[in-house]
Amino acid sequence: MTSASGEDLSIGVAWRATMMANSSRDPYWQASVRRETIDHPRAAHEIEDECSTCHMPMSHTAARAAGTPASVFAHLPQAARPGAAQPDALSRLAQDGVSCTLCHQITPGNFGSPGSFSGGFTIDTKTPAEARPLFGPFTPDPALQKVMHSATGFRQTEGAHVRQSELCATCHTLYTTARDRAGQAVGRFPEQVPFQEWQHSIYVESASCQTCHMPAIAGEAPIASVLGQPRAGARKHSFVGGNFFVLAMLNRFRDALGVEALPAELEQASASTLAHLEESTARLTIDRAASDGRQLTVDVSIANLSGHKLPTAYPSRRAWIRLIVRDGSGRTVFSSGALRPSGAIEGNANDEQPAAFEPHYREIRRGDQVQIYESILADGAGAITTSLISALRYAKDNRLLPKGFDKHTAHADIAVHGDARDDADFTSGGDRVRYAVDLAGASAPFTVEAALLFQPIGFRWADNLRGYPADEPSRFVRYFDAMSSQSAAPLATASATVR
Amino acid sequence: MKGLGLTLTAAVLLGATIGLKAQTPGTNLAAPPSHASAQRSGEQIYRAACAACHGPDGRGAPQARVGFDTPLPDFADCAFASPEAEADWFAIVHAGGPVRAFARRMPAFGGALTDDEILRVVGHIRGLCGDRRWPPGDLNLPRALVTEKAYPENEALFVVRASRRGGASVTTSAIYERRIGARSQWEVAVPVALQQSGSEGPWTRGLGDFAAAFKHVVFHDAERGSIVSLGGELVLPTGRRSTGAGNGTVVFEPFVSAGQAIGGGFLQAQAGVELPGDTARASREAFVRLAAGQTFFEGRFHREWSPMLELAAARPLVAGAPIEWDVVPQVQVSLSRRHHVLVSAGLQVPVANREGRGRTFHAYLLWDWFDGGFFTGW
Repeated sequence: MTSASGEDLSIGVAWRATMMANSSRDPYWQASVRRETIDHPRAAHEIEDECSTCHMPMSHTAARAAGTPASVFAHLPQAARPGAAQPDALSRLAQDGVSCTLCHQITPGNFGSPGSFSGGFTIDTKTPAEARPLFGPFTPDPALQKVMHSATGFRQTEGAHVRQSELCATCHTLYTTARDRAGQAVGRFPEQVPFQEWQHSIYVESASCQTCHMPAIAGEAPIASVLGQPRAGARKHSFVGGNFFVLAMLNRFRDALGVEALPAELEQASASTLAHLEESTARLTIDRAASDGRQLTVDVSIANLSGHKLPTAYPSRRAWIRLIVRDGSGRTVFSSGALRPSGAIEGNANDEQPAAFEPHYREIRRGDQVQIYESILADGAGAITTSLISALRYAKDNRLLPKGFDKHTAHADIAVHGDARDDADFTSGGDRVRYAVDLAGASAPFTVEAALLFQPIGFRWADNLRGYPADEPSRFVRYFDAMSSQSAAPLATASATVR
Repeated sequence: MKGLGLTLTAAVLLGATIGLKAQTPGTNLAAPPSHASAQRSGEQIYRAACAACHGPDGRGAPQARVGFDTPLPDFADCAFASPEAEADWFAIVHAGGPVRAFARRMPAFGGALTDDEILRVVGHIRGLCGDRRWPPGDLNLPRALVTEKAYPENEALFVVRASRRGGASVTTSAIYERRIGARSQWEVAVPVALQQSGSEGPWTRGLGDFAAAFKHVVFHDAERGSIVSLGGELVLPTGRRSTGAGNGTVVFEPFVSAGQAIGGGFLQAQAGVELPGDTARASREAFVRLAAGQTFFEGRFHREWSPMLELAAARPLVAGAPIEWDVVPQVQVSLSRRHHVLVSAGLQVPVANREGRGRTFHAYLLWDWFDGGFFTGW
């Protein structure tokens, strides 16, 4: 399918190069699930069931409908191996990630309710397959309904709810069951809640998840390659987000991971993600840069352009300010937040020591101080952790707030944690940080380069998988080590010269 | 002279069957709906409805593009695209792959395209085989019990012929036919004869006369629905003559076969001579066979019934020999959904020169193996 301008609009092609399509192939997810089952062996089955709900939703739903427990590792590995038996139907469903017939079968009955979250989507598994509706935003053409039904067994049905954020929230709002070492449930942890963040922003009135993450197609375009009629308001199924890194990883290690999207498609998806991050997520400005001869003062403002916290959702993501000051000869006078080849941030306490972390800063004076917008998790005993199943609270959450987000009235699940709570410059729509740089005799002119960098998987979240005695964590650590220098991307940059 | 007359009669009948206007078989066209588009050509419809999976050239879009692993046919491959009748193409486009036991991924377009549009797009698809040497499947008429059809086929048959003339005789034959290129076919037949000596005598069993044949289409006209083939069969004396299982001599049988489609009906004719190597063991004989019938479908696309009536005449090429006239009422029925396994049965009844000649029961089980395995497509 192509647009009037010749752009490829094929839904399936766009989808298969997304994280949605590859939700079960994601090597980081596989490694993380394995790690959690090793950490909590008595709850291994419950963990697999819980994690497969959204990452292998079709096999999970089918298994549940059949009255059998859902699993993760029974469907792995997914790469074709010489001599290995063909995967069974359930494993093929597992491999297909979040596919068309998952989202388009979700019914709206419980939308927005707590029961709809954490994979609480409802699919009518009671209606015989040949009579089941498949919801879409457009009024179906009766003639084409028959075409689709004959080939799939589904009945095209108009359902405007597929354009509601509440549909995405069924999986992208995740409350995990926190467990102790014995596997006992000890609480409930709001692991990712972008939907609630959005609800607490000004965007709740003007944009849905789909508005940004499923870009609109200009003009009229067909939504089917078989007798497709031009439709106004169609949207791309590119599900552009922030995870350029795992998309690149899926492409590089495609054979081992059983990836089906073509190399060029994943390259395009990764490039589109980077472009989206650079164009639509943040703006960085140097409000003031002045020198009194002994000290250089730089005020940096970050504006969050997204409809939720930045970064949001899965807590391995982090954004930080890298600020470099050079003197007239090009010598570096000051550096904060430089990325090491290992993927670690220079000066970040958490990357040096798993139990430590950088506080939220209002002013930065030394190079070993870094303004990192992140969530830091703690377990029931207060120990810093990257285990989602162990995590019970946030020790730090200074992720940038969207416009309209009042941190004083925010629900506990989306609250700001740590020093950012009391920072008057950390407010709705962004943050301002002052850098006070000791010039130590360096001479003008000074060049200031500031960037907001982003990592989908922070160093600590990858490094904590090192040493686990299982294939999936070992493999992911190998992959991360091989690609760590490409693990970050700039969201926004600015520069200034001080004479 | 009478032999010559018989041959001339055959020639006239063959000629009469050629030149009649053919109609689309089996589609039983309904009146087009009011929204039928007379504007879109078959190619335009193909590009809108079919090209996404079947590719713009009909060779099948790449698997990486369509995203499923069901093999896609190559419409440009004449060996694949030409043997099936338009009725089968129409049925699959209209009712979807499952109507002929193909993959469900092939949708049913009956609600989205008018009959006329389907015919246009089928016409375009069948035109993707650009080699006109391949006769279209519409000329592949139902196989009669005794009249050799003109169309070259890929088939395997199990044939039974049973008669009672004093003693009972049951001959079962395994026949294998294979197409060669656009217009030719070879076949072999291995019969096994079961004979009873007298009405109460013992039964004997043995190999019958092995036969090998070749057939070549010399003329076909899709527009007129006509096809003519020339062929020859060589019968080897592998059966025991003493038990009645064989002729005891080599027999060469040159023949001409013709077929004419007329709407859902058809006429077929065959004429030829049997030329034994040893006329003391078998007589030279001329024969003419005619078959007329019509194909009906259960529902619109389902089981296929083809009742036929054959008229068979044979006369030894000996002065004063009488002509043996037989009629053979019969019916052919498709068994599989793919219509590639069929059964036919009929009774050959002498109507002239009946002295010493009894009725013969004929039946066959036919498997068009090119369309799939025997047990697939049901």
